[in-house]
Amino acid sequence: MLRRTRPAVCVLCILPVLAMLGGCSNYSARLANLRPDLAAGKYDEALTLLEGTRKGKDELLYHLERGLVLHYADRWQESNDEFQAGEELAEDLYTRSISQAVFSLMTSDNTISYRATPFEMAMIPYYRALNYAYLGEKTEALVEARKASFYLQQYTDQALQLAEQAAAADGAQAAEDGADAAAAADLEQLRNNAFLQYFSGLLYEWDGELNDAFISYRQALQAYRTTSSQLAVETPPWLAEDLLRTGRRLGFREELEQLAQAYPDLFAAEEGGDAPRSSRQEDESGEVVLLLELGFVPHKVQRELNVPILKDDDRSVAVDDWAESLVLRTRPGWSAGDKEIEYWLRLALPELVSDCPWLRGARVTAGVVGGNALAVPVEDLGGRARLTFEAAYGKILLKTLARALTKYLAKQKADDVGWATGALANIFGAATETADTRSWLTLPNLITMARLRLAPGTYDLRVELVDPDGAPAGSRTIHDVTVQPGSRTFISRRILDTPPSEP
Amino acid sequence: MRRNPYLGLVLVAGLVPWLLAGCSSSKVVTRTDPEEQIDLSGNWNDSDSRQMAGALVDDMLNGTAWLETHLERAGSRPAVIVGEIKNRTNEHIPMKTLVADLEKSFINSGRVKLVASAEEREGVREERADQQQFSSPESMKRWGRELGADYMLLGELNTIPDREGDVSLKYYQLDCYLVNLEDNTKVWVGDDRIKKVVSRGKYKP
Repeated sequence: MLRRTRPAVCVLCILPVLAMLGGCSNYSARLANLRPDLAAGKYDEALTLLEGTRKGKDELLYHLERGLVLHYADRWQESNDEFQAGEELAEDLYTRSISQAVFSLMTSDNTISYRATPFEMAMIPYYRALNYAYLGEKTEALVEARKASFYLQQYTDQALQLAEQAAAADGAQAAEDGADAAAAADLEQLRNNAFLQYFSGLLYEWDGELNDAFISYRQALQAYRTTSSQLAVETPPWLAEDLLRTGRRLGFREELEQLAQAYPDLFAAEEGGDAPRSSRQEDESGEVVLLLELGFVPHKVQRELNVPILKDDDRSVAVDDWAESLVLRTRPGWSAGDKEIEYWLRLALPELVSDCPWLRGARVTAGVVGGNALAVPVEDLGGRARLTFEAAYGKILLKTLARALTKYLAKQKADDVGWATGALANIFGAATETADTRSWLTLPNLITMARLRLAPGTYDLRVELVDPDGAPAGSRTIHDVTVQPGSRTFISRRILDTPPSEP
Repeated sequence: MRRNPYLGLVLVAGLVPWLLAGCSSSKVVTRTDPEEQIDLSGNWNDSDSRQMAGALVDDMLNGTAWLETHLERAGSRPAVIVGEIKNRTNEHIPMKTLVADLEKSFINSGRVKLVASAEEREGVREERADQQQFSSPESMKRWGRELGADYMLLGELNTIPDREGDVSLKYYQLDCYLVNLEDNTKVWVGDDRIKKVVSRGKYKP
């Protein structure tokens, strides 16, 4: 009797440990209240919720989420400190842990420290620069612009590496349908972040660094043109004028001619339009750069998938090769036909859920004398998240299949030893099978920009929101916006309303 | 009884990191010589600030024509003020520390007189105003006897970062120039550079 109960007790004792190894629940489920708290302006509640991720494998996300929540809570210095900690940790995480990697082969990817994607890391200089601008520390905001330029190069390399890995992981299947390879190619096109370049250009020009501004504007233009087919953004309407203004002041006649030849549609309108403002007019007035951040970036959820193992599968091959041969069976429409199914492998895979903002833009007015401007999309983070996920999916699927096969083989061997060992292996496999659904959840989906040139003074900006069909969708007022002569005022607002309910 | 190799592997993979983590001790504080050069991240640090300030002031004051010309013409040490040193790097650097190191190097050289910065002068003037009301007549300092600087040191700190795989390069260049405050002529231009190579391991246990 005692002999029979001991293994059962062991199984019960080890259950919580196994659950811990697997990461219990997935990240997005654990932080399900984070977005509602942020949308409701419950910043303290959001920060409290994040405390659960402070230490451990999600520590980088803790810093990123916290940095952004603090930014929206107008706690700019604390936000910068948090982002700084995140950047330092991301640097440390460059060195990969072998033990974590080995462990993840048998448990789940949640046991690996989260390393942010290039597009996530690229958002840090944007938020930090805004924080410094609000703190009145222009010099430090400019440091963020320079950092952004350097990081962009670095993240470009990482994005390319990711694309190459995805293409390699796709292996034989890529040759068959080329889906992941195409996704990797899309990702490669995104290697330059047009919005960050444009934002850096605006910061450089704000500080009078015209040469740096011109270069950033030019790179932004090239990047916007390259990525317009993949992302829901067009070249901002002010970019040509920005290039002409800075280029003329620098005496870059040849460069401007080259740009006009390369992008005739963009520059013809500017040349043929209103006469450019004189530098005196620009010195006497000021400009408001309003950034409206809409919605939430797509997040990942866990999706379960059952993949059949056939009785006549070749088990003499390596697990990786066997896993590769199972990729086809995960696709819709695959059928085992008359072959006998021996076992159903349970896979937990991440799935990207689109969180499309129900708003698309806005009209901004600064009173009767201030004029108005349209807010147009300048950054599509939702699109970037989708392309990054699609490019990495092949590798994730292959690794998940290989892990599930390893657990299956281990379970078979454990069954040979005895029922308790078999049960343990089974519980271990089930408890640790969780998808890696980690991502920076509080990021917006879309960033729109409006620019207004105004006489010096203090204004209340009225923001009339519009839905994707151009219909009015509510309004906001941003009070006491100060405009100084010859300067720029940067303001950002997050719009997180839920769409009106259907009648 | 047969042993299960799979469970063994899991235990090893699971326990090794915990054992390694367990080996590391809790927080330790060690006092060290403030002059000691310690490089951790490869970013700008106190040693860089001291090294560049010292080298630049040495370069400015030793065997340079402007100082000899000034001494010949004025017959006294020039009065110098340290103006804005711009941070044009991609790091958040406390430029006040660099300015303080430059001032320290000037004073220690004994070859120039150093004028307090505009911000510091405001504080001094407040104190002097206070003296007019509350100090004894013999100790009270008079107005209108401040020393005007002959030259202003201006400059900027630039960086050229580069990275390839596991190795990154950090190159800092401090460019400074001394401007004659009477006629705006630049009487001296100099620079100092620091180059660091930072290597990172790709893997750890």
